[in-house]
Amino acid sequence: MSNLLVGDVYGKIIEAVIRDSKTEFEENGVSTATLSDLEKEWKHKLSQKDVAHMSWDPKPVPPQPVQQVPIPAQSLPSVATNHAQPSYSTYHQQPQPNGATRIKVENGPEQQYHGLPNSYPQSMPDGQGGQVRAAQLAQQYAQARGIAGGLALPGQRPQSMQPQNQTQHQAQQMYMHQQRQQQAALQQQQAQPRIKVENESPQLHQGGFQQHPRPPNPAYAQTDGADEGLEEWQAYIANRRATTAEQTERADHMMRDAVLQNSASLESGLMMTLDELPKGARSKKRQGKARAADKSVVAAGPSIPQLDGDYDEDEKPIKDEDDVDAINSDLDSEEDPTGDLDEDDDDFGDSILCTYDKVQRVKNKWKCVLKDGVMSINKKEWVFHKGTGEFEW
Amino acid sequence: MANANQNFYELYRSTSIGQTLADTLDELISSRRIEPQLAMRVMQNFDQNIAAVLGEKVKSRLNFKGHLDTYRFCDEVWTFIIKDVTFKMVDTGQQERADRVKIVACQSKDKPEK
Repeated sequence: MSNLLVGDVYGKIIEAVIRDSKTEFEENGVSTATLSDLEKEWKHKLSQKDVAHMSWDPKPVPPQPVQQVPIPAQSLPSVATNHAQPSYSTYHQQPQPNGATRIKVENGPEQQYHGLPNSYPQSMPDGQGGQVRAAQLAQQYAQARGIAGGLALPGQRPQSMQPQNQTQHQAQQMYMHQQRQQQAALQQQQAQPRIKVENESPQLHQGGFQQHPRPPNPAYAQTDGADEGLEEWQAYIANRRATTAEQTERADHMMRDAVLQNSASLESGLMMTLDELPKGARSKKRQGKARAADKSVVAAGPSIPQLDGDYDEDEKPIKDEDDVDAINSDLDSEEDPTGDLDEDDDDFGDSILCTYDKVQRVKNKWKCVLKDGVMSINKKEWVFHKGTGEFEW
Repeated sequence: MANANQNFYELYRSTSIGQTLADTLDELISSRRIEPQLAMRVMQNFDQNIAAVLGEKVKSRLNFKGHLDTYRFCDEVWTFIIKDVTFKMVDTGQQERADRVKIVACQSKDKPEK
């Protein structure tokens, strides 16, 4: 007998079964395609079990190395660039005809922006149109930044922005502000001495900001758009903290439940003395009730910890040797023999299914003659025509 | 275990080939492509054909030894639990070892069945 022959034998069995079933299928009006599918799927499942090399299995193909296509990272920034550029170009085009008008509207909030840390609540009422546009621009910049390489875009164009409208400045400034949120305190200190200077500049000229010296602090020129960004960021932070607090509390509850369960399982009575163990079938009923109760309690939360004690008492299963009323004997087997025989572990259990010709016993020596058997040993299958066994009981 | 009409054991349905056939038929029944009665007929065909192939096509022989842990004889079916088993294939001389083997054996067809 050989494991290699099993594949041929199984192939013959499948052919015979399919051939004999063809008539049945036709009588029932089922198409032959279904029969073919049955055969294919049957072979496929058998091959998947990998208990033997089947006659229909192809030769093992060496695994091809997985070729990972490198994601062209360069294309992403280009996409971002292309995406951002039109926005810039539109900005360049649209505000130009109405540049003067818009500048006037947005002067007010821009004034207040320089006093950002101090006058933040004052920035809202005026220039809402500009703020809306700035918010939209900020979203676009955020998307561009999220893809890749978008960070560089606004920084690369500050000079081009300077001669343009203030709305463009606001958008850029919002973006810069979002990057520097952690430096808000520092900017506060820097902004305070500048309030006086910058409050005067927009009053002088509409393009006052354009003339404002940018190099020392480009973000300094940001105006009402940055106020909105700060407000949104603070709201976002508050939400995040609230969510984190909820999740932390929930996680604490989960951890506590898990710890209680573990402690209950550890204190399941295994370490308890015999005197403390309950007796008889009533204890089993109490086990069931206690378990059910305990499960519900655990599921509900740690509100009733005292039930753990009841659960511990009734957890250990009753054995004859522990029951005082049981009739014990040294001849009693420790294991339950029916459990061994009734075990159904196809995956891990080795088994032989066959017919017997003869089974003999002399004292404790057994001999048997088996026929037409299928063996499953160590996850491999074998077949035999005749088998002889000798064992000692 | 034997089907009175067909006189073939359903013993071999627990093998891997039998289980895969049953699983495949279950899938076809679930997808309503075949009727359960047809599936039963296919399984009966399987019982018949596997017994025939094993009896006619297979010629290999096997010897094995071990320690008998449990035995049972009920309804003409022997069930053994053997521990520390050593298998030896007569044809190839190949040997296999297993810690625990369960043997289920129905009465051979050579003997009259009840």
